[in-house]
Amino acid sequence: MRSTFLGLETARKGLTVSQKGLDVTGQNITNANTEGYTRQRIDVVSVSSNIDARYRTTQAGMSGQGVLVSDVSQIRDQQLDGRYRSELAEQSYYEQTLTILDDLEGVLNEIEGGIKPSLQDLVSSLQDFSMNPNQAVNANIVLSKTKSVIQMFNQYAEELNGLKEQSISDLSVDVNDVNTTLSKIQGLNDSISKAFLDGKQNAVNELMDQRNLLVDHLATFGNIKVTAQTDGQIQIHMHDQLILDGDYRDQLNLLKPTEPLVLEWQSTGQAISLGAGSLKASIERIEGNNPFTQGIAYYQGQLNELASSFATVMNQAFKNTDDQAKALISGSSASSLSIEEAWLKQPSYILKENGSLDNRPILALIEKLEGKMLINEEQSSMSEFVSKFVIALGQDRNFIASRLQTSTSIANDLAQQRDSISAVSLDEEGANLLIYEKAFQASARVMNAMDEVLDTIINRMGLVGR
Amino acid sequence: MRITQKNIQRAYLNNLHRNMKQLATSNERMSSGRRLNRVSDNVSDAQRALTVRDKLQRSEQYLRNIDKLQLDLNGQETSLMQMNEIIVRAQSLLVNAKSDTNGPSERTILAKELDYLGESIVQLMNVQGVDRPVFAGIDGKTPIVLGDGTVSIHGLNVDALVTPEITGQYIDIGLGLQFNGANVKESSVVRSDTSPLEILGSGMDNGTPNNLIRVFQELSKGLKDNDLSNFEALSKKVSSAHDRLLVSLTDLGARNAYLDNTKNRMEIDQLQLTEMQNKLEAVDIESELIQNKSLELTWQVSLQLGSKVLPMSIFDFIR
Repeated sequence: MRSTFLGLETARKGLTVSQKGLDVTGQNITNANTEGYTRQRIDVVSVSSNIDARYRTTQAGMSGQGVLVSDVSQIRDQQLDGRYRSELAEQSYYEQTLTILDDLEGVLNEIEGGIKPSLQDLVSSLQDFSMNPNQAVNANIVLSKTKSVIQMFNQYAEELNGLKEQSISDLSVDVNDVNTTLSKIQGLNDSISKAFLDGKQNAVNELMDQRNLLVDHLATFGNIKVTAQTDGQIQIHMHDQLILDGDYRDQLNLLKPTEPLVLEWQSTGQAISLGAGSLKASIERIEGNNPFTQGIAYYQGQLNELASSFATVMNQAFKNTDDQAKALISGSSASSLSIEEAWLKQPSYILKENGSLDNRPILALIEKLEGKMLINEEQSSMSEFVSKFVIALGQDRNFIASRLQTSTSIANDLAQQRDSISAVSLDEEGANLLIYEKAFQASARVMNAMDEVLDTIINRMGLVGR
Repeated sequence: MRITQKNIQRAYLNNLHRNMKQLATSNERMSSGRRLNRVSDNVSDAQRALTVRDKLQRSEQYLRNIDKLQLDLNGQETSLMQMNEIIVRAQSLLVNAKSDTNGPSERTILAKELDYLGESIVQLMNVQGVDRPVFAGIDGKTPIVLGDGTVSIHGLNVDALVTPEITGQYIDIGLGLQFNGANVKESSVVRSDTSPLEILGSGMDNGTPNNLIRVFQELSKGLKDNDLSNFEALSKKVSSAHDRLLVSLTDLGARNAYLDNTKNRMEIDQLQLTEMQNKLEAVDIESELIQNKSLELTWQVSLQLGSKVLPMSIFDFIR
């Protein structure tokens, strides 16, 4: 049988639920722009009558017990998270690659200055020299033009080296970031699983948002796989390597200064292998030294080959009366090239001792500098060689840029889809505000109705004949 | 699809960024005046631009080389033309001298004039150019040195038969410089000198010198000694020296004409190359300006739209 005050309790539950609805709506509205926030929703159930009651009663008697908030849940699509994160790894791989290639292109800029024009200047000075081969003035100009070429090699080498060091230091920042992120995720895992144990699943929505944000961040470094556990924790693999599971956490180590760079997980002690992410990009483009992966090291190598060919050609050009070649340039790598003391002190060192006008050595040198020769096992002129690797760099950069564009637009689509599900719509929340407010008013009306009914029962019933 | 605040913001910001980036690129092109600031701006154009630059700079150098070369050749031609006049004069003297009507005193006068003409030839051959003797060859020194009854050219006694030196001085004018061992391939360059030894001659023929200066000396000696036994043979040597001179002059003229042609061709090439360079590297300012304006407009429209789209929600309408 229905108890006398059942209706009042029902109305009270209605008021509480509407207020909770308003609270959660308020939480959603205030967090509409919070990074990583997932919109929340009250899960509401109607209270069922107790069918296991000890004393038999009519079904209708216990009906109308009202409403309850069973849970405050997040609206999120785990599968979309996975797709988004794997695309994020792709995107940041291309982004990091592009950053390094852009820097490389900035250094090896043959459009404004560079090795090609300084080589051309040298050849021009040799042409003038070939017409007046006994003039110290011309020999002097050749010396200063040779210096310019060498300075250009030195400058390129220095800038490439600087770029390499900068990229390595950026990489070590990234490595620290990965380790800190993992440790933060582990901390959150811990808090969340404790709350689960205490049965307070509702209380951890905000912690899960924080953790999801960190996992998104982690995904930019490498391809990860996230597996949810029953205790609310998550387990993380990076490229098939388990890196976080409960109390277990792996650590990323960058071994410096080694040649080549080694990036390894502490647990295995072996160089990591990755399918995507910015770590892979950094390592590839710092160490890449083959035609398929043209990194800083590759361009350093190309430059050194060119520098060494240049020094060889110059050193064989002029001979003294004993038919001994005059050494003009010392060093054989781009950074170590310098003019030999003998020439530096005496610019006319390259003149024929007997004042002869025989310009064959000069013409031969022009022919060498402009003609094809074997540089790094391929036949090309020095100028062509420079063009070739500068053009290849431009093509490489543009290829990566277009891949980045595609990947960014896919990642963007996925982010939009994710936000479409999980982010806050102010219109919707505004409508919710009205709905809960109206529901609250209606529950209050129910309370009034119940009150009037009780008033009737208590104050007006049984007064016949008074 | 459910549209959330984040969706609107992201879409708006992405588009705004893209518009700003396009505008910034166009601004850079406008302010630098260059279409290509980096190879990656347009790889294939950059590749062509680099080649065109190479060619342009080279052809400028070759034109300078040709100018210098023509200066040298003109100097040589002037001297050789004067030498031609001297030889013609000597030949008429010789016709005169052969006549039996001349007595010893007349012959001595003729001999003196021959001596004088011989000296003139030496002077012409030793004439100083801007920075070195015009006929310096490759040793860089004054070519003809007169000794006591001997003549040496480039340090070689002309009475000994010398094969004229093959290595002249060569200038690269962009014919595709090539080498054959230590020697430059003559077809790939242009020769800038004229060998005095080749023109004046060397060696002896049955006791008769071939060298023109020596011939003049012998002729003068014969006239002075009134001994005309070798006169005919020596006169023939003068004629053959004259022939060699004419060949040299023709050769000089031909080289000069060839250089003129090459120069013309290069100047036309240069015009085309410069035009190409402009097309490849310079900004077409009119079209770039129009594009820049339209990008600016797009950017402003997106900014204005932003102020309308972003804050709008149901809250603007409920009391």
